[in-house]
Formats: sequence, structure tokens, C-alpha cells
Amino acid sequence: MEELIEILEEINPDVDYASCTSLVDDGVFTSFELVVLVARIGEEFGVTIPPAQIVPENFNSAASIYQMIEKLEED
Amino acid sequence: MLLVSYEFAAFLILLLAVYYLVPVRFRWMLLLAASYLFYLTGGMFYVLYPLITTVTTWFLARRIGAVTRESKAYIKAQGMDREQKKEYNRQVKKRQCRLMQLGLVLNFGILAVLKYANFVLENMGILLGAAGIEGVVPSVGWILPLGISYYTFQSMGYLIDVYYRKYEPEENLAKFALFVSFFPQVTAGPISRFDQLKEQLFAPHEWDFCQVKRGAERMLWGYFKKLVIADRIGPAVAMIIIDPGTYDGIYVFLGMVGYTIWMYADFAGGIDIVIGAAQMFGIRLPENFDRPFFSKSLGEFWRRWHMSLMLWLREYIFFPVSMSRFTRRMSELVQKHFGKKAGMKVPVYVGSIVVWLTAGIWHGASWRFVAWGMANCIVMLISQELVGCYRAYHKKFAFTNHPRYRYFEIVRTFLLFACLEMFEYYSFKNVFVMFGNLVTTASLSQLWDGRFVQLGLDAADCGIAAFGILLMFVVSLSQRSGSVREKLERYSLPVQYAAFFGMFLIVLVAGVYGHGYDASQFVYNQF
Repeated sequence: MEELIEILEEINPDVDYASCTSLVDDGVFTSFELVVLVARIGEEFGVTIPPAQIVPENFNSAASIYQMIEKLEED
Repeated sequence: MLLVSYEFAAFLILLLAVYYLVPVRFRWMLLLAASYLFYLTGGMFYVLYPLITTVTTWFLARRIGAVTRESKAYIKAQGMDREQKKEYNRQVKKRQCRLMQLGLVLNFGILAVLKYANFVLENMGILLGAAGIEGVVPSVGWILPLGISYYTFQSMGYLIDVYYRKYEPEENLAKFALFVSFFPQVTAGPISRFDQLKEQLFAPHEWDFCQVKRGAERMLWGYFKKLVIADRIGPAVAMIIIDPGTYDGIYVFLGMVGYTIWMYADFAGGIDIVIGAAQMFGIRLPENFDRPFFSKSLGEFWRRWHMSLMLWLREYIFFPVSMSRFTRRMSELVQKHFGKKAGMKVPVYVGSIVVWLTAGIWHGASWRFVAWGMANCIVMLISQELVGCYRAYHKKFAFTNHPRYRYFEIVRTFLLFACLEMFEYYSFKNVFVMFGNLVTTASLSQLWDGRFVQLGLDAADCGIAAFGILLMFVVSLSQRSGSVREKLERYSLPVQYAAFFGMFLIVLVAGVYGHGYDASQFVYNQF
């Protein structure tokens, strides 16, 4: 999780990732940030996130992003 | 059949009566028959193309779904280990990908040939002409089926979703045909997703006076935007933008602002009519506008304007292209030579360029639209590069948190959008020439030098247009705290009906009905 928070802070350091649960819904992360985030996750965690997984539910909070990574790692 | 016509009004009233008279289980079938009748009023060819798209997409999506089911059963029966399962699934995905690609090539191919053949031939003619070979490239006069871009994008979105296993394919061809051809949305969108629309289309809709009333109110509001605002200012705006030689100086600014308001009133008005008509049948279509002129940046603006198209482009082009193997390889190459930071930007740049190129071409087969798309792309990418600077600027200067600063941002975004629209109606060179002319020669006195009178707008026209735009602005402001129609329902029935008939009278009296041009045609119908 720490690794993920580091990546998220690289992209936008002004967000409290422990409490924010609407990163996509509130426009904190637009398509641009999402694409950079997906590339960084791929690099750090070695998982490929398919385009179909890029839905607000998976990216609205640090916890949901981490959950998605774990699921992809299992697959 | 046009949305602004007596035929459409008669068609809608008759259909509504029959719809709520037939048994509930037959209602979606009636909508399907009505949708094809709507197409048939344009001619036989209008039906042929959506029919091809419907049948091929339905068949291929079903095949993809069948392959998924068969493969799951096979894995279960064979008792494969993890590695074997992975390899087998890879093969299955390959087969499914080929089926999806077949559908995409066929249907986008039809769209490309019908919509862009002349554009390609014209450019080939220019190239051959430059090489000294004249008159060998013919032009074609193919009929463009009604709403071909909308139903093609909607159907292909469905096919891609089924490929990604977002939902199961529809087994019933007739039901799928209604999803593709539902008559209110074929003219100007919105582009819907199957999983969102299917419940709406096939649910047993009982008679609900409130829904019918709200639908009628929404339609009336759409007719107000279209007939009172768009069609009144449209001819004057057209005169300004097609004659830059005459209309320079302050008129360049008038053209920019007028064109932007005209396009919004025309397109959003059309969408209000579409969504209102669907609501009368109990069907809620997705929204296409979310008060875009209150956006604080161009990025936010494009998330609130023509939302269904922008969402489509984001989901089916931006993300897949940004994450494609080709883009990843490019990113690695750039990282190797120019560092990690530059490499990470490659997916955003490649995805944005492809999206805006597609958005431009989607709007029209012309280099002007390509230039318009690229201009938007450049502004968006520059804004993205400056995100860090904006954050620092907002942190350093407290006044940027003041509500008044938001008004500045809203006006800035409106003007930026209006400037970019110049690429749609001026030639590429003229955009810069006319912008320079505006900055260096504009003065208010030019409004009284006789050119304004030639625009054909008398005092009454200006008064009605100003009233219409002001009302549209006030309603948009009011929508911040919820639906205006719902707010109206808090008042007594006589007040509600007085408001409805008042608006009806305004549309009747102040609307433009034929004005020496095709007033009833919508700009977004041509896509």
C-alpha cells in the first residue's frame, strides 16, 4: 500500500489519500492522471490493467486501487 | 422526419396514444416498429444501413458470448491447472478479438466509405492535380443515412463491451434492433451504453402522467432553445463567419460568441427534445450536457459538453490506445533516450492525439475539423504540462480561492472554447489573421458603422435573442441546485400550467419558423 501511496503522491501530492473516496467522481483524477497512474502501477507492481478495468469504482480511492491490483496479481 | 416539424408532432402524439393503449408487454415492440417507420420516412436506404449494422453486431456479439460460455465449460471439464488455463484463455481471447475486429472493420468501414469517400477523393484529386494529372478522380453522391455516426458508435461500443465481458450479449435480435434504432436518439444522440439503456427500453412502462408531463416540458424547453435562440441568431452568425472580409474587427468577437451560443442552443435544444420525447415513453436517456459554460477549465468543459461522445472516446479510444502494446513500446523507447519523466508522458500524448483526431474527423470530413481537433488537443496537453504551475500559483495567491476568481475562470474558459471554434468556420490561415485583426482593430464604434444592420437583426430580434439567452443563463444557474421542472412542481397546479402555456406561447410567437433558410434543421443531425 505504501508503494501505491507514493505513486499517487507523485501524481498529485495535494490529496489526502487515506480519506478520499471520490478521486474520479470529483475530477481529482482525470483521464490524463489515470493513464499515468496505470503506467506507473504496471511498472511498480508488474500487473497489466486492461482498459475495461478503468472504471470509477476501481479508482475512486487508494484502497479500491490496491484491491484491484491484488486481484490482478492473483489472476 | 425532422424533430421540428408538424409530421414529428403528429407522429409522436399518435405513437404515445397507441403506446399506452397496447398491452405493456408489446410496448417495446411498438417502439421498434415506430423507429423503423421513422427511418423509412427518409427512404429505403435509410433502413438498409442500420439494419446491416444491427444484424452483424448482434451476430458477432452473440458469437463472442458463445465462445466465452464454451471456453468456461471446457476449462471446467478438463480440470486445467493455472498455467494451462492462462494459455487456453489467451487463445480464446485471440479468437474473440478477431470476431470483434471483424465487426469494427465492417461497420466503421461502412461509416468511413459513406462519410469520408468524397473527402479522400477530393484530396487525391488535389495531389494528382499538383502532379499535373487533372480530372481523373470522380466524386460520389452517396446518401448519408440518418445518424450513422451515432448508431455506429453506439453499436461498436456494445461489441467492445461484450468482448471485454462487461455484460452478456443480447440474445433477442429485435431487442437489440431497438437499442440501435430507438427513434428519438438516432438524429442527434446521445450515444448510450447497452447496459444502461436495456432496462429502460424493455421495462414494462405503465402510464405515468408525471413522466409524460416532464417529458413534454423538457421538449418545450428544447424547442425554446432551438426556435427562439438558435434559429433567430443563426442567420446573422452565419453571415459574420462566412464573410471575414466584410465582418472583421469587433465582428470577429461577435461571430465567436454568437457561434458558440448558437451551437449550444441548437445542439442542447435538440438533445432536450430527444430526451423529453423518450421520457414521455418512460425511457430515461443519458444526459449530454451538464451546464458546460460554468466550467473552470477546458478539460472540465469537455467533460460537460457532448458528454456521451466524450465518454465514448475516452472509454473506447483514449484508454485502449494509451495502454496499447505500441504505446507501451514507444514509452519505453522514450524513457531509454530521454528519461523516465518524458517516457511516462507518451501514453497521454499518443492517446490525446488519436482522440482529438477522431473527434475532429467525427464532426466532419474536412481539414478544418482536423485542425479544430488538433487545436483542442494542443491546449489540453499544454494545460496538462502546466498543472504543477497552476497548483503552485493557487497555493501562492490567496485571491485565487475567492469566488470572484471562479467567475474569471468561467469567462476565460468560455472565451477559450469560442476561440477554438474559429478553427471550425475559418480556414486555418484565417483563424490567425482574424484573431490578429480582432486584437488590433476592434472597437465598439464598429457596431454602428452600418454592417450590423446588414445582418438582418432588427431591434425586436435583438430583444428576443437577448431575452432568450438571459433566460437560458438563469435556468442554467438555477439548475445548480436541482431540476427546474421539479422545483416548478412545488407550486400549485394553476401556476405550473400557466408557466407551461406561457412558455408554449413564447415559442409560438417568438420562435423562428422558416427565415429564408432551413430553420428546422439541426447542426448535429449531419453526423
